[in-house]
Amino acid sequence: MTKQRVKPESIVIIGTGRLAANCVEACLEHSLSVLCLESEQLMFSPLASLCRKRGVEYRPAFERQMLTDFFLRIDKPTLVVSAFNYYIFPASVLENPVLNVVNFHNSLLPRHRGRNAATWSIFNQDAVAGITWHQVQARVDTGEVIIEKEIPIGTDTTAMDLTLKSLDLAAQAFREILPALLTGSYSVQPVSRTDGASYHRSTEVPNDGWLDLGWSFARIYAFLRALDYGKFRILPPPRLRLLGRELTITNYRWQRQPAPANATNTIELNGNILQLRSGGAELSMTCEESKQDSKHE
Amino acid sequence: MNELIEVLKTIRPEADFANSKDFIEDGLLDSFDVVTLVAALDKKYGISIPGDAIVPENFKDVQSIGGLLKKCGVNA
Repeated sequence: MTKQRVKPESIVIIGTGRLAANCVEACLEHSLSVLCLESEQLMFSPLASLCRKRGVEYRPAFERQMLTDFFLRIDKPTLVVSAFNYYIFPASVLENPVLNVVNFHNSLLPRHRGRNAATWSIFNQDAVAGITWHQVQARVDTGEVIIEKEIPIGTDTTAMDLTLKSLDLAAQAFREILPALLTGSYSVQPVSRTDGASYHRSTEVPNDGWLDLGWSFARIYAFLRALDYGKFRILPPPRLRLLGRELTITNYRWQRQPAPANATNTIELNGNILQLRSGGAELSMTCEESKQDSKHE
Repeated sequence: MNELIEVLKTIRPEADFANSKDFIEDGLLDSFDVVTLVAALDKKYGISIPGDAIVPENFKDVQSIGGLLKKCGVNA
């Protein structure tokens, strides 16, 4: 369905990191004037340096109320692009008639709304993940879909791999929809999928972060990959209980192909290496005694 | 040091590391690049760079990355 929305006279990009930077670049390719609001304080975000180099107005904006006040004050037609942004637009902002707010989400909605969608896609052993650009509504990640793209999840895909692919694909998709966003006239689709709708909070971790040795080999391997953001501490490291001990898994690798789902697991702990074997498959996990303070903040 | 440039090139082939005095300030590396770089260095040199060493001052140029590797027992 095509709806007429505001034809923007200005663009505000709110977010952080490489996706926000890529959106700025895309707007500059259209010779558009952009204001950039960095809504999270990342140690390595390229956004500030890009804006400085390209002469784009840049404001760090970590204070939620300040952002709300800013959006309420806007009085000319403005496209607001939310790109890797955790500020939730309140209803009062969305009721400002001069704003058209679009958001990136790293899943195929309504699957895995909320946070850490890559983790949940892998843990659920979804065959396909994806990205969505959608209209923003007051209820998080529920607005009409402007564009979505699928990403197949490979047998070895980690949360980090999937996040990186999502960001690249989101940037590509944004370039595709930007010309239409600038006209204010474009098609959207309501979220039509009915299967697998879910919402995850930032504090939620699959199985509270505990590996269950009773799971199938494939499930265990999916769990480890779902929590694997390399050395980013986005989620706590996986833990398991074995022989009265609580162990933290610091590293893992599988040595043979994942086993059939119904194969029986055998477990062997040699020093700090836990070997899991199942139907010819083998997974090696390096463990250490869990520290009392290893709970995720 | 050339080895390090080669590793960096595998992560961001289009970036001009040779002519940058500060990879972070110049926007050549973002957080995902840095974590990918750390994984590549861990694998290449058989080390484990600690998570608390992932700070901008350790990745601003080839010298600072070399210094970090030296602390981990590698002479790159």
